[in-house]
Amino acid sequence: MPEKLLDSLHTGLVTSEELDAKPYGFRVTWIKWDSGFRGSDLQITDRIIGIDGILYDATNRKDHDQAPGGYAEDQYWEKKGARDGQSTTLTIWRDGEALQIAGLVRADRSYTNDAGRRAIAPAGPEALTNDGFDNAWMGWLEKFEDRASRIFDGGWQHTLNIRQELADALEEGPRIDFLLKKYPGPFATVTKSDYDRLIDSLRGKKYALTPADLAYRSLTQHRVDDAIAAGQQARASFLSKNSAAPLDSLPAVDPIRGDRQSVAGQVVEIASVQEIAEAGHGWYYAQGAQGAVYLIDSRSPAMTAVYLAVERFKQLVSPEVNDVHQFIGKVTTTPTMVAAGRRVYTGLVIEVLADTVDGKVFVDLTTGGAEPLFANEEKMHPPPVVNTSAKQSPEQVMTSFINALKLGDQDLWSSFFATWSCSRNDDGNCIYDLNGGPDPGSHSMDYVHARRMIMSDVYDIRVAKVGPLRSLLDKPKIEGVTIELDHIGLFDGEYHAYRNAELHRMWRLQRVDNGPWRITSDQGI
Amino acid sequence: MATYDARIKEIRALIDTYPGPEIGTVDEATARSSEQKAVKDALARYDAIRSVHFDRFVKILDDRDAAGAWETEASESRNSLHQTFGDAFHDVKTPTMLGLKIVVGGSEEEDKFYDTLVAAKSAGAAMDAIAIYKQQLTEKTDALKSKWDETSKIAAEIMRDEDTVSAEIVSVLNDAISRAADKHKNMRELARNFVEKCSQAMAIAATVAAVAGGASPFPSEIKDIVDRTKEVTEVWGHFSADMDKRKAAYLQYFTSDHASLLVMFKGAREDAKKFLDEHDYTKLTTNFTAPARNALSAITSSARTSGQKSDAEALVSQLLKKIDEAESAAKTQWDNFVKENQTKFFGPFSPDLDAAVLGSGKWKDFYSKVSSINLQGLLEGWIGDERSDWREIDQTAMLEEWKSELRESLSDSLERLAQTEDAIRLNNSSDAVVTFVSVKLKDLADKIRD
Repeated sequence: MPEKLLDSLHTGLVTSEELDAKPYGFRVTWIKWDSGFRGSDLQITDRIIGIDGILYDATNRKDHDQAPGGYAEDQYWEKKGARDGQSTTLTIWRDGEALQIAGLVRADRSYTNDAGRRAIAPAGPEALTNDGFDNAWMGWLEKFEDRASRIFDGGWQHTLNIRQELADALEEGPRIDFLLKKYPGPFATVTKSDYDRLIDSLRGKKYALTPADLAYRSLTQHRVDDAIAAGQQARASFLSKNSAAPLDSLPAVDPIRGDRQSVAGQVVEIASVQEIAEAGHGWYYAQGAQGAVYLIDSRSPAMTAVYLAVERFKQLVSPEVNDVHQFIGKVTTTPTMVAAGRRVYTGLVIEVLADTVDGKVFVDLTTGGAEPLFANEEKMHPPPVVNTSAKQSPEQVMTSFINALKLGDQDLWSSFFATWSCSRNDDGNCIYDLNGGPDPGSHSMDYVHARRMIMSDVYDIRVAKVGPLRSLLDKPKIEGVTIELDHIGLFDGEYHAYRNAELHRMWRLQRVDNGPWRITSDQGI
Repeated sequence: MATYDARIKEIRALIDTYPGPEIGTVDEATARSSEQKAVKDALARYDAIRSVHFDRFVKILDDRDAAGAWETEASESRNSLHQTFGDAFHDVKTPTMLGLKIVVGGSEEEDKFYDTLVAAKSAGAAMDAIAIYKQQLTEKTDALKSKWDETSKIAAEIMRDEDTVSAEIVSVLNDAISRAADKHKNMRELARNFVEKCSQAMAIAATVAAVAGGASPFPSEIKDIVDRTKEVTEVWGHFSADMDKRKAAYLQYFTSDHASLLVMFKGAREDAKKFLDEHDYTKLTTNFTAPARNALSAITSSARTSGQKSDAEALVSQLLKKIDEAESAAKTQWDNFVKENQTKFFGPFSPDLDAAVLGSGKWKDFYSKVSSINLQGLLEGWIGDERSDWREIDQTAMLEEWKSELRESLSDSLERLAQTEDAIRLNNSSDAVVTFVSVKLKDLADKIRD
């Protein structure tokens, strides 16, 4: 197929200017298939800080459009009198180091096929044909490069559903195979290589988790089993001690005109309740003999105590607790009326004495004051096997933080968060506040979510990358570091790193005056 | 539908400032013309989608989760900008400075404009809050109506039963008086005859005693009188039992059935007042609609060009209209909610409320009916008779046997009757019944009064 060299020359790089970066430069976001830097050590995310020995200057940006990837790059090469295939050396910044990488500058090319139609590469395909696929090759290539660029250029650091991206990318497999088969050549080879790299990246790093790595899961199950057993025993004892009778064994009594004294004070076991609500005010409704109505106020102090106990159970034992109640209560003489939907429920109020929630959490409300413990709660403090040494590195702190989560020790887990704050203001200066950290307990919801994830979709969490140490403030001396975490999921029988909107890959840690490293990111998992 | 084309016209005018073909070389003029067309086409694409997005912003305010939809729309609007006008140089290799100024500068200004639109998510949040507010008002309105209907129905049943007892009391009173009066009248006649006979008998007895040397027999009428007193006493016994039964029924209603209903209804009133405090309309305006208006105003005030300002005013006026309408509808619903339930649930104890759940008025009729039955007066008269009739007999010349007989049978019998009637006067006379009911009714009313 005819190949025509155009006058303009380019490095074939796609870049993005990083104005605030130090040193100033241009981040490589894509390397085109026919770029003279294909095959070099240049990587997407490298920052180009100079070319042919001359460094770019952020204060003198008049030529920045002529940098590699700039819209006027060809003017630079024209000015230099460069020719197709001429060598050039980029100075790039990677992981805090400057490197020299050589590549070629190439003339832009225009390809046509035998029919004289525009093609993407010497061996095809034709730019505007689709070969039976959804869109033309030119449009497809743009989208493919855009997706690959997005993933290679820090896609894992952003909130992306990696597994969905993988599923979408895998759908392109047949087209890649078709490209290789019908249009073999450099374009197909490079594109296939990019595609394989993309799939590898999206699959995530593969991990081999051992039974020891997953032991924390059975630890939790044992704790749940212990709580259930203790709850069942306590409930049986409570029922026996209070001579509780099934609710439907009580005679039906009209709550207004009936003989309420005949049922008042009776302790009853309620097999099931239905939740009803009057304009946002929730009640539990239980049916007695002959349709007799009994009601439990969800806003009563007793129910508040139950909800608090359930929250503690979620934090200490397992976050999986459904809102299913088996109440034990005392029938009162107080009639009440609740209008929910089209029905008016007129019945006697039941004072809750004890409750088993989701068959797991038993709370005896007759003991323990305003915040009674759930059964076995006093034994639910996990052994302190998490390293809490003040001398731990940021990576070790994150590992300890994750272990505390695995053990289900919220207090220990919370202790790895910073108690101070040091955030940048509009001028870029760090403002330090000794007591500016999150309020105690403010991560409770995060913790419950994190526990839910570590006990379900996330099998382990590993430190993937530790960023460079940065100085944030001189006095007090505050240093910061960013850590990337791999959340490990189980996919087709293999453990792979993945991420989605529920998981946080990027974590910031700081330390004050060489003190212990602590987490400053306001997130849970 | 409003039009939002001022900004587009503004950019179009800039595009028209491209130099004509007379400037520069033919190749430059051709490239420039090609770029101008590309920019113009990109603007046309942006124009087509920009208005659609603006219309959607207005429509979103009618949707559920308007805040979430607003956020999505703001993001999509910005994407549309980047994919159309912002991508004008897609096929332009070397844009001109003018082109860059128009496209890059124009896109940046539009980006800023979308920043203010993103911040105006509070408009969606306000509409969501209004929707939830109205939904809860509707639910509570229905709930209070249901509660009122149910309470009224139960109250009517109880009051009907109370009325039945009241009617029975009137009947029992009248019946007792009727029966006791007959027997009293008969007893009085017997007593007078007895006194008369007794006088005659004493003369005869004296003669008989002188002639025959024996005592004359005591007049047999005394037995009839004693029998009558027993009959009257029995009447009062039945009367007392009947009255006690009715009073027990009253007690059941006043201290249990009716009292339970009123205690329950008082709880419903307290719950309704709490809802009223929690859903005060002013909180809706303070927490939601006022911030939303501020954010919408900022769209206009932050506009960077006159075209944007003009479009912003057109858009914001549509959005404000939606918020105004929704807020006004919420206020109307709130006002109606308060008005409809003022006398029943929120306000002081009203006559309507009294009539529906307590029924003080009907008790006045009852008092009047009972008071018109002068059992008190009758009893006082009868008791006087009973304590005087036998004393009218002159016992001076009476034989000792007679005196003993008179004391043991007649006087004791009459005294017992008098005591029974005195007890009736104290406990079950009309006045006593009225006092009993009014005291219990006051206790009952105290159950619901604030």
